[in-house]
Amino acid sequence: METYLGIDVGSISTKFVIINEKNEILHALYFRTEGNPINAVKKGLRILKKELPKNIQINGVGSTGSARQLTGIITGADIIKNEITAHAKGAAFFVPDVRTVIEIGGQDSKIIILENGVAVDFAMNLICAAGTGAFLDAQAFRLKIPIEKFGEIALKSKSPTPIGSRCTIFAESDMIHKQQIGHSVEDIVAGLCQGLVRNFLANIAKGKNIKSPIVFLGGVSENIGMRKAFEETLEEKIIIPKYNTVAGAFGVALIVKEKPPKKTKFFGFEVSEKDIRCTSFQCKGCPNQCEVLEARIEGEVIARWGDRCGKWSS
Amino acid sequence: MVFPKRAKLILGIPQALFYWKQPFFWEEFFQNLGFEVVLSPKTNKEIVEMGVKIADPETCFSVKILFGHLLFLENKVDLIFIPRLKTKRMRSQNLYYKSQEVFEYCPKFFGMPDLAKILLKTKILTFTLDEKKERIEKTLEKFAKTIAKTSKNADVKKAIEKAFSVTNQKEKEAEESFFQKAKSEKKKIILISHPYNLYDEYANIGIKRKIEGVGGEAIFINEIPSTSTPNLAPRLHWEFGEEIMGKINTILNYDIAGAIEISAFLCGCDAVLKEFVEREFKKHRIPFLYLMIDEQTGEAGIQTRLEAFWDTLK
Repeated sequence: METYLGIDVGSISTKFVIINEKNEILHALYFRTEGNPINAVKKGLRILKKELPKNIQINGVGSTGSARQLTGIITGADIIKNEITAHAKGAAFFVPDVRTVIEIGGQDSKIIILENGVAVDFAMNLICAAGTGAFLDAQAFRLKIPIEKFGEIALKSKSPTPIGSRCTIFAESDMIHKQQIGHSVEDIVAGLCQGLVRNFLANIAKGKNIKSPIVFLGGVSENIGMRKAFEETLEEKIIIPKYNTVAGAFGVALIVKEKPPKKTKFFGFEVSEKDIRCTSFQCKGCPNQCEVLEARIEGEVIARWGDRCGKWSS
Repeated sequence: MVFPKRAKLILGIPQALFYWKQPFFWEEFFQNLGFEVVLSPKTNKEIVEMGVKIADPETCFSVKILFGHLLFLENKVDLIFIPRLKTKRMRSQNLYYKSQEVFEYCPKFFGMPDLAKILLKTKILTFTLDEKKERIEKTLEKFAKTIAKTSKNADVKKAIEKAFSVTNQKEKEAEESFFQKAKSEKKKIILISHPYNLYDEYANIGIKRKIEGVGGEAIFINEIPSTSTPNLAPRLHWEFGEEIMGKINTILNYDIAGAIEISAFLCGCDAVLKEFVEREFKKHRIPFLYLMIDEQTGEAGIQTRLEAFWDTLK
């Protein structure tokens, strides 16, 4: 069977998607990166090797996400694409007339405006990670709520407590304060969802023309509390497609399939059994002292990057 | 002023902030007046770190960089030159400026010589440019007479003329290169920012190279010739705002694929200007990207946005 592989390695989670010639998803993986992108890539490849039928042939590989460069290098990807284009592609496949994509992941949150299935404008959080998955994770942990239950609990609230959420740090201290003066956990959690949505709309989506259909993607789109808060604030229906958490990996698989390579550069699933290492050193060539990164497979240098002048990377 | 007795005094000029407003002018001017001129090197990591360490946290990134350059020159030269720039009269070749209106420089330029005097032990050489009161040629003449070895009027005038002719020559070259680039088949991207952000490759993380890397043609806003097209936007208080808005008006007559505005973190003036710049491009349906730079700016974030932006261009 002829297939295409998309890999999306983000700060918090790693996604693998395999599609066939008909753009059907044969297999999708979603698991935590656990701070080690190389191990995450190896893990994903190992799982796929075990679970996929033997007659599978990979015709092309695409990588995306904040670790797309590294992922592309150690797997031999044919295309390395930014996560904005990849998500736009994925969303437009699920909802062809989509106009707005809201994607909130582990550390990034973004809005993409589309026209005729193509991204025409976008914005990404600049310096603030308030409202992203990592923050919700930390708050769920502090409240001793499993993150999977976070949304459900928010839905129980009848009168959400307003939480100042302009900044993660202040949101947290405000939540503690609201607990101390006696608000219930449900109300606080619901209030937090509303605050984070307000924050997203005021900072990231500022000045953007949000039109329906609106698609919500990324790990945070699993949180029904956040979905409801977006629906209430925007007064629009929010669409969550079936593969909402792996849309980036799916998108990059579609992109590589659109312009398939004559012969894929993919190293094969076996690369997961090899010794892959990434190290860095400081170049002393000039006062810029760039941190140069070096990837090796079985001791052999396959790529260097991170220098400003191109002395090592070229 | 009392100068040490030496054949030639060594004058240091920081290659930062005000320098880029009129590159090549000041070194020519002072050399003609009998100084030995030393320029600080191009911005590098060491310079940025020195500047960031000394600056108070509310200072914009561009001023932090200037501080680094000043500290680099400290004790290496007899004098360091920093002009006090207050107001600028728009030149008359632009028919639009009937009354030859006067615009203000950013307030950071007013106080810079005083800040430098606190920061450094090396003597500061300065003068005040206030075209509300007097034309630059006259001011420079008076200033030159106080510092020049020669007391002959004709020599001083010649030194100033020569410096201006160098600037004019450079401007002409920039204009020629603009018309060359305008003819290019590649997708043209306008980079909008202050010259000290555009010409400082370290500060802007090599944005020009990155655009060329993805196959685009990068045009700096200041390369665009000034024309007599009236500036339609509301009149801006600052000289750079007036200039940038005027040049945007000109460039809208050309076929451009996109526009990127680069702003230094904590630049107050840009916070106001950005809205007008963005509105102008959006009105003409030209994709617009806003990038913020500071000492924490990661290469990855800029690269992701740039790649995604490139994908949104038609």
